[in-house]
Amino acid sequence: MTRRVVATLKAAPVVPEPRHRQAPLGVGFGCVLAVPEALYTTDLIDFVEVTPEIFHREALTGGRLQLVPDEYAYDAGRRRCGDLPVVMHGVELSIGSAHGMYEPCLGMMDRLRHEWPFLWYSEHLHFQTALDRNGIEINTGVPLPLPATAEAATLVADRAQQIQHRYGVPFLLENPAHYLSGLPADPDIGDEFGLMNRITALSGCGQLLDLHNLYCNAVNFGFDASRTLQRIALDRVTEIHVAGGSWSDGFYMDGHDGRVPEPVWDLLEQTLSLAPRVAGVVFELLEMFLPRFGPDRIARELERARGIWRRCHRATELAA
Amino acid sequence: MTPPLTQFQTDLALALRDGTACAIDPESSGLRFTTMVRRSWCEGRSIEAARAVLALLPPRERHRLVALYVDCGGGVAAFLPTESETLLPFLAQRLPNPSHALTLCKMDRALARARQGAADFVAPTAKPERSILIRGPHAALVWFHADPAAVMAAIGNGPVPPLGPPRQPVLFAPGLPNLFRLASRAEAAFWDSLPAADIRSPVAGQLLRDGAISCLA
Repeated sequence: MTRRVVATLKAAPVVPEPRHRQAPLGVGFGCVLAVPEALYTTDLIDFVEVTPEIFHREALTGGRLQLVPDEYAYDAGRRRCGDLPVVMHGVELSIGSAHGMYEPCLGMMDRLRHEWPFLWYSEHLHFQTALDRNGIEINTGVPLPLPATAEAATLVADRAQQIQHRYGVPFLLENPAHYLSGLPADPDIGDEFGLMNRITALSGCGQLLDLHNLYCNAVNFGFDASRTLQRIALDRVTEIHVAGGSWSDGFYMDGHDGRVPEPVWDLLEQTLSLAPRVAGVVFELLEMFLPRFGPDRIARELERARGIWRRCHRATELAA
Repeated sequence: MTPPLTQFQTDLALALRDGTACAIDPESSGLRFTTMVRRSWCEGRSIEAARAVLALLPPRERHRLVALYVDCGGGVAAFLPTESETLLPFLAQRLPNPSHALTLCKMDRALARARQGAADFVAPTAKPERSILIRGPHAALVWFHADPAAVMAAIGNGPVPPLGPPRQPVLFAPGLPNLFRLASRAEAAFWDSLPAADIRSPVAGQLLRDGAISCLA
């Protein structure tokens, strides 16, 4: 089935202005059907982060490619969330593709806005499709980072702004982990952090600060993650991700395959004490690693995240 | 001077796939590692998209077929059912005939087709008096060369049953509760006879209700 991508968004419907300040929720976890239902309790988590593509499949309907609910997973996913607040974390929009985004994702989110309401919507700052030399769209096979250029910043900012208006909730962009040094950059933007700051400033969208991605890039490119926090527009950070990773061929990979490393917990504590508008922290774990990791260890990571969340919030309240 | 975004993305995507030049130093360890990660993701997606079929192949053959598929540009679809639509026909052309792996390949394709048809399927309420009967567009009949339960158990590391002559027909159709059921020999024979005008066949009514066959308009 050929992916069809359109370059422009449809005219945005009239929706309320997005709320830039989201009420704090606490600690969340992904909507993973393979995880025991008992984990989805307010004793452990405060909200659920849904990756909507997991519960959809591509279908040609009336000659148009759409994402339709998977008959077996969709209802189970909704039941799994129960009464917990929901946020959406997309993975296939490819917001940075120069020739156009993957439009079926937007149609899916249009429908989910009514069927499976969410407090905010996040996506990754990267591209997954490009044009080949004949102008035919190809999938890159792996998410790739954007160059830190004004062209990339403007393109993504325009799209982010329209998406935020389209859904009437905050739209967040996640900083990626990658292994490519020497990406092209305009001097006034500089690097990936300058790019994210430029996009959030131009668009008014928020940031999903993935601290494990930041840590990966810091380890692989040899910079200080803790000091880099000072260069990030922390007042734009609405959500934080923490996760585990592993080493392969001399690179530290964002594998989502294990426990959160101690330096990432330290970064979480530091960020929560500095960022004024964080509404949620999510522990990420890929489903394929669940059997090895086990529910008890998931619970321990969530409890630790909650402990840090509460400690930092108490400190913030006292300071206020 | 930075390259235009479109050019940067085209060059990088092709560099990772074909090893051509891009804005990143081709000798850099980061580009080499990203190429490796991409390859690993493509192979992983392929294995996931045909898990049952590939599980029945010896490891060396499994790796050979997956590598060949990725070499041909496969393994990049974002959604597994979409990947399966390309991979299963690719495997079907290369698997031994007959083999349990080929049977499962046909089964997976039949299930996907039945699932596609299930969303809009409405069972006919009455059997027409006269019509030409044809195979349903979302239906298939797959012959297993051993007890289907034993073949399915082999996917989960059970012993692989001996390959015999065609033994059990299984029907896949959009109107079936689980999209499949065992078919009778009479149904299989009727299926083989299609298209046919034998509307009075004792099996025709049930097959129509299951969405396995339909009337030529």
